[in-house]
Amino acid sequence: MKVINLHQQEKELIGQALGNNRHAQQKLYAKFAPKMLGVCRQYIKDVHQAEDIMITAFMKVFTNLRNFEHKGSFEGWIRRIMVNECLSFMRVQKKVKFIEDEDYFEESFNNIESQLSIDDLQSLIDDLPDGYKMVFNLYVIEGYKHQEIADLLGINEGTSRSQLSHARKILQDNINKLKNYSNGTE
Amino acid sequence: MERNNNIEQQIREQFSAREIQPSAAAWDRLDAMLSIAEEKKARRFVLPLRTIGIAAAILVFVTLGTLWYTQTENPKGDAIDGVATKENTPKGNASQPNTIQNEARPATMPESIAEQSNQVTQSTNAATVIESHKPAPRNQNNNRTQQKAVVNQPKANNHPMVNTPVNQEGVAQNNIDKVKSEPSPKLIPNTTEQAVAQHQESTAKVKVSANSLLSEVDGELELTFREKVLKKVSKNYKEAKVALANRNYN
Repeated sequence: MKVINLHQQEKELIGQALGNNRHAQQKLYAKFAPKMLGVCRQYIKDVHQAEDIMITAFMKVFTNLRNFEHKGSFEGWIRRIMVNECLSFMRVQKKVKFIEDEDYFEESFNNIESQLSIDDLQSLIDDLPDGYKMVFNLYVIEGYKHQEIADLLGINEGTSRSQLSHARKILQDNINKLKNYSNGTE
Repeated sequence: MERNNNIEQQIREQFSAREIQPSAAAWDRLDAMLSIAEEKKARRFVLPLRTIGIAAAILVFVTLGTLWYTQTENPKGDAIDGVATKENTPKGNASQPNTIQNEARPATMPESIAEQSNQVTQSTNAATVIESHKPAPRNQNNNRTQQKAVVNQPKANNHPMVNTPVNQEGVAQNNIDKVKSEPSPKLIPNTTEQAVAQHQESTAKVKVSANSLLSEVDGELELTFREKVLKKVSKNYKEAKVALANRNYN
């Protein structure tokens, strides 16, 4: 019942926001902004810059609200807009280019204990090159398939696989270094 | 691709649920951007009305200007015609100085008046009788011969041949005397005016026709062009009005 009520409330807010009701828009913003800022932070290292992109993406959410067809979750719809905005920022502002490299290898992480905090993981991902980071985030965190990633980024599916394998290798190496460092200090 | 990797699974779970509180100014910035976007949308609908109003005002001014221009051109056209007529009169003088000089100097040229009077008398029978009596001086200037005829008439009055037409001659003499004594500007100038007018007309037809034709053609061209422009302008204005009405209706 609570879920239904929440869903109904969300639908009402969306309806009011369509009529440029600023109060309804503020409520929707307050509900989804923290999570969406986390999404942006995955792609952009600077929090302030990530916030700017989040605001721009919310502008697109409210201006294109009539395009939401209530078929999936509203959060998922907003999240896709955030990811697209981050990708366009990285391609345009940072001018990320992908080297067409279809030599990939199946790489998986060693079965190690997950003692790393989210901040540690974030710092490891931040250290990845932009191209590797984008593919890694889209595949691992957002759950896109390689063909979908290739369409989003305008690359080949093979290049997407290659980028992911390189990202995993670098992350593995960095995790091992951290582990060795922590074992060494202990 | 295996997705059940521990690290990747951990990353997925932790990052998908992560929340970072935005700054307090973030909503204010978003609010300002939304307000600007709403104002732009409102302006998009208003601007066409303004532009159409401005366009309508410009059309009105253009039509008024063209109408005023046409009105001011008509006096100019008359002036041109007047100039053409005035210009023709001196030319007419050049071709036939006698008659035009008469018009210019009706009172100071007794010879010309006499000539004109002789024209009048020639229409009567007395002139022929006088001429029959004086054949020799005909070869000379007409003015002098006819003056002599006038002078000799009192002598010829006693002659039996001349008696009968004497009255006519007398009438002619009286007419001539009257003309001599009082060169009436009414009768003679009328004839002279008629003659001059005829000459002017003939000359005007010949000399003014080209200019008048050109001016007429120009006028016709200008009128048609103006008409076209006005028609186009009014048509566009009507179309814009209809489009605006449809948009408002939609």
